[in-house]
Amino acid sequence: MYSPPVIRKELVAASAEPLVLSLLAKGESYGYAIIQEVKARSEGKLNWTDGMLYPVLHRMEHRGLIKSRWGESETGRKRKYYSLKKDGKLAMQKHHEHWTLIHGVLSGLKKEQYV
Amino acid sequence: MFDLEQAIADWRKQMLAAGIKAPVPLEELEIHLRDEIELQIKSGVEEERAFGGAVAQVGPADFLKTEFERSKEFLSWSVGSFAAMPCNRVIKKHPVGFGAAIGMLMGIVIFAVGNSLIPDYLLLKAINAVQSPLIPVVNWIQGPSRGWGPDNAGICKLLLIMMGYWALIGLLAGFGCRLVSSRNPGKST
Repeated sequence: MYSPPVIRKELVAASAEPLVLSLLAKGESYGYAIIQEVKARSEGKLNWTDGMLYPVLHRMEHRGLIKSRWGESETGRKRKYYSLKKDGKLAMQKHHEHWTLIHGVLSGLKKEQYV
Repeated sequence: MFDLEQAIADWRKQMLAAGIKAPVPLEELEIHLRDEIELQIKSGVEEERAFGGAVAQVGPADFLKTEFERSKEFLSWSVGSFAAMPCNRVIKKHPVGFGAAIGMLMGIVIFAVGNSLIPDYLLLKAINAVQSPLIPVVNWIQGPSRGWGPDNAGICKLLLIMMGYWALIGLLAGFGCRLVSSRNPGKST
């Protein structure tokens, strides 16, 4: 019988952008905190290899969805903080629409016992 | 005896050897590594194991290199990379103004080419054709008594009109770009 891994890597990769956008919608944050929050909210099931987050963040920054600034933590450690831009908010809304649609279709099919 | 700073320095060397560039993104990865080590140590893990765990968590150098290269590939073919250039940042931020500026530039170029290539009698016709929709405006500005000819004043006016026409087209194109980008936020193609 087919037994999928915790969450397929394709799905993890596809969910990275909407998750990062949604987390940054709450306020500016930095890479490590983003990873920790995703792990906590998914109860460790959505386990990114931490390093994969940074290419995603850099790509989103180049696309004008988010912006970054260097700052210091309360302990004095240098950090790169990311925050959402206007286009990022719009992109997040689109992601929410798409994921809600997919969720709705799956839920509907499940209710009809096709899944 | 395990030396954490030396271990981090060795890790940096491995990353650099694999092609991860400094200061960006290597510095950001190192901060992440240090955060993870700190968290593990606080939770009672000994330094050496904390370092090993954090390195595994950040990911091997080859994997990171591949991920960053994928990101660069994406940027190299997408309009997103174009947006990374200062010129295109201006386009993205001020598409209407940029369109108008390009439009005015085109007006000047078209006028300059036309003025040097087109004989005077055809230029006169062109001036008349271009100014015809603007006759009421021209009359209002300078009075109906003075006509336009291919003299200096006429040429200046033609230049302004050409710049105005093309600036208008540029403005419309800019508005169009703005509209499309607001409907497809972050879309890179």
